[in-house]
Amino acid sequence: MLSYNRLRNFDFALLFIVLIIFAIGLTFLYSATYHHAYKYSGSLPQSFLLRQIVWFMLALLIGVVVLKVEYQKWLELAYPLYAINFILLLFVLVSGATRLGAQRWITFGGIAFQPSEFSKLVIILTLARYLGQKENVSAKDLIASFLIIGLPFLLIVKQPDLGTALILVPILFGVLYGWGARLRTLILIFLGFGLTTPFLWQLLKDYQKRRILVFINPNMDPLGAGYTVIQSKIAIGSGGLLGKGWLAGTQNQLNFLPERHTDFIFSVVGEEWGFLGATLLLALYFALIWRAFSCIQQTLNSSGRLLVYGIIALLSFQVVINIAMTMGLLPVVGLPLPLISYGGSSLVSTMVAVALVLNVGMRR
Amino acid sequence: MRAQLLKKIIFIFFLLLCAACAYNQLIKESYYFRLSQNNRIKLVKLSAARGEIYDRKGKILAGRRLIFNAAVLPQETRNIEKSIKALSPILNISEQRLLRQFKRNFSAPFIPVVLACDIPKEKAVVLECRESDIPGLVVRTESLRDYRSRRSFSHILGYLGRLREEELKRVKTYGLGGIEDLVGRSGVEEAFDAYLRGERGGKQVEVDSRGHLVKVLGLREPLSGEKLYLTIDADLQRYVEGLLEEKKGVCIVMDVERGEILSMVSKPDFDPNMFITALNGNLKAGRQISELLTSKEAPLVNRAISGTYPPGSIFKIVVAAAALETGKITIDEKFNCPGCFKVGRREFFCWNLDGHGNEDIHSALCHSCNVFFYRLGLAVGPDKISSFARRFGLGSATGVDLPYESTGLVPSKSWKYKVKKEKWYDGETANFSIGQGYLLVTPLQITQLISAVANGGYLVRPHIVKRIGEEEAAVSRKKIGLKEETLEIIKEGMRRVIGDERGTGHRARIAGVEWAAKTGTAQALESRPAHGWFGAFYPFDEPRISVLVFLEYGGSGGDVPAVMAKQIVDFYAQLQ
Repeated sequence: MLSYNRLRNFDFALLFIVLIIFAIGLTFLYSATYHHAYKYSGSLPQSFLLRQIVWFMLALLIGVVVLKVEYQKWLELAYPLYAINFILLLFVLVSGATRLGAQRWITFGGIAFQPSEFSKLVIILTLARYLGQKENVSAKDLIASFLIIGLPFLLIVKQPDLGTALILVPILFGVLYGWGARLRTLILIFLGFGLTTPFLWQLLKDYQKRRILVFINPNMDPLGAGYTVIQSKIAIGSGGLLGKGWLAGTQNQLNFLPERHTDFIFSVVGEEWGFLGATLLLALYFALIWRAFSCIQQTLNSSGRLLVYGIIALLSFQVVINIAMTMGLLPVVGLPLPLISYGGSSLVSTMVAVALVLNVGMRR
Repeated sequence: MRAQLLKKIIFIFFLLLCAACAYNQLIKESYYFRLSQNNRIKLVKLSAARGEIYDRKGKILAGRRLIFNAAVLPQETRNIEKSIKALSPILNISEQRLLRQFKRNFSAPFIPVVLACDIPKEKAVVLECRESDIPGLVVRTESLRDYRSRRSFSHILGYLGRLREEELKRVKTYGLGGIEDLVGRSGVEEAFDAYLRGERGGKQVEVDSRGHLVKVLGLREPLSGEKLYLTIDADLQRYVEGLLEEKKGVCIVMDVERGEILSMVSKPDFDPNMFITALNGNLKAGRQISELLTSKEAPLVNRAISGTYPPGSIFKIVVAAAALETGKITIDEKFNCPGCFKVGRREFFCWNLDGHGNEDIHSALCHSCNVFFYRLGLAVGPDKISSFARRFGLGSATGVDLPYESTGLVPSKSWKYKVKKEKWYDGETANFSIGQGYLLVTPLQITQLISAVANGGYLVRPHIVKRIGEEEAAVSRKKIGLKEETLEIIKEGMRRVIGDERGTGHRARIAGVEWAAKTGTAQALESRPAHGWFGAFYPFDEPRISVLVFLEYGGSGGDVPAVMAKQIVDFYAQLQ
């Protein structure tokens, strides 16, 4: 049982914010799959909703497990987990199921899941563990952390899962920053990263290259890769201040918006709840981040703090990249909106991340 | 504190997102709102049903037919090959052909591309069921013009075609919209296009991304076109068409009093349905049409009104009238025909080289004696012949309610001087007198001429549309101004053409009934047989109809044309 002291330190506000965001997510998942969803996908909106709730229950359960074990224990497990994850990523490349031109899934007992979703967390744990032991910033450790992240990064790019690979970059920088690396050094490294882009370009699949080119000019291919972004911008923009009302977004309900229940669910929020709804959601996400920051301030354990730094970077940049993408500010990379987009792997990994933050906060 | 700075950085990112939302949703709201409305609200044009065309007894000649087309909406399918792969076995068309069709017909992402036209109903039902699992597939219905009678009415009805680029501007003022509008081409379809087309309506609808209707927001009903009733008798028309068969030429049956055209067949002809099929991009029909267009036989030309030919001996009616009216000959006067006639140093022959002996005006018409008419013509003079020819309606359009009518050509001294820069020779007068030389007429002009003889000297305007909706077409006629005696003499001569055993049209004789005619055999090309003419009216007393048979390079007018005219009259009599 959790002791009274631990329970007192438990951040109920954080959990509350998570639940509110998830509830909003369910509301819009219903809208995104409502009425016409049946006509186009053959499934009832209830079935999407039900599956999402079942996944959330499962995610809560896993979260409780993550909470019950001290986070220090998890940190100790970081290296073996890293090894297992590495093997899983290799396994995906060799025999993973291909969907939408990418090998991301492995099927495990009838459930398909994406190891790359968990790579994010495992990498954060590994970095926190490794860097948490080092008192002073050194070039050797910097290079070591690059290696820690670099190997899975390449495997994930190769799958290819550009969104997840991309999110590893802010994670690395977030953790390094929290560790104490100088901002100037990090900026220089970031620019150095930029130089590797031509090399990375070669690794990309044709459809990804097209997406990036279309990002630069969506009208290049208004029916193909550019279609989603154009329709998404129309959806968000046409929402106006107050939105068209729940279940009344024409872009959404009349099927003009593809992938609206997964990566592009923010467009539905923007269309049906307007500017107020969109900023409300952004505020809730920022509140979530803000709660995580206060956890850092109260924690003395450096590994624990680095863990939270990594998770902050993960969650905030996932939100920023996803939303920026729906407004055409970043290329479409295939990154879900945490707690809102439909999909089990993402829900579970987000809840584990939240549980880890709560865990650190509880055992400061 | 490091965390504070990072928090600020993240906060700035979130603020930027808020700013982006504000820009899109507050500043550019109206722009995006309009785009979203454009996405979902479509203006669907409702084409007006084109008016049907009936014959004089109310039998339908041109109606409508509902067809099913299989199309794909490009914006709904990311992978067109996949959709085509699924469609190919159902439509029974190879994937490559469908893909070619798609590429050829693609115009814009939101405009459905028709892949297969006029698919059978059962297939349409199958496809409709599969609309949800074949991306982009839409089955659409379309109402097409249907010419029930196929060939028999091709030139009369005409066909439909798309507006040409240069016509677009011109017709805008009549409320016609775009390139998808069909207009009548040739025949009644063209001449009465404005009545037949009706008025287009429109529907404002909400659609989903597939273009499927969600709900109707506003509606303006289209107005159907007027119904057209022709003067044509469909049974007679079919019979006459069957009679001409593969021959090249024209048959016209016309009411002599009112100018109503009961039958008008021009051969070779075409199936107007082919043009309708070609509108939807049917390649085979398209090829057949280009064959029609380039054929030397000119099957698209309505020879009855657009073809001009020398009339040959039929023209002797005009010369006889001119001579009688100007007093150059009387009923008792006779000329000898030795079989040949000298004008200057040149000899002009009669068609009967043995000569007809002594001929008066009656027998000269009956035997179609050339020598008699050479002398008559020279006595009257070319300009007088011309002026009588014009009074009979030659050299100008009859005013029939069909497009592309030719005027023909009536020469005169001044005409020759103006065009050929030469003076007129007497030899030309001789040729002119027997309907040869520069003179050109249309078969309908000759029908009008025969009718004028039959109805007591009235030039009636031939017409083919009897009634537009409830409005009856007016009959217009004008007096030529010939003495009754002149007409009586010509009619008697024409009676003998059939009635007399030596008459040139004796083969057209019908036991128990008297009728009258004039034959013509017009030389056109040295290398080919003459054009055969047979112009008649029936019956002799109180004439009702005129019948014209013209065979292009068909030989003597008294042979095949005479027999055909007889068959037509027989059939007409049966119908009454």
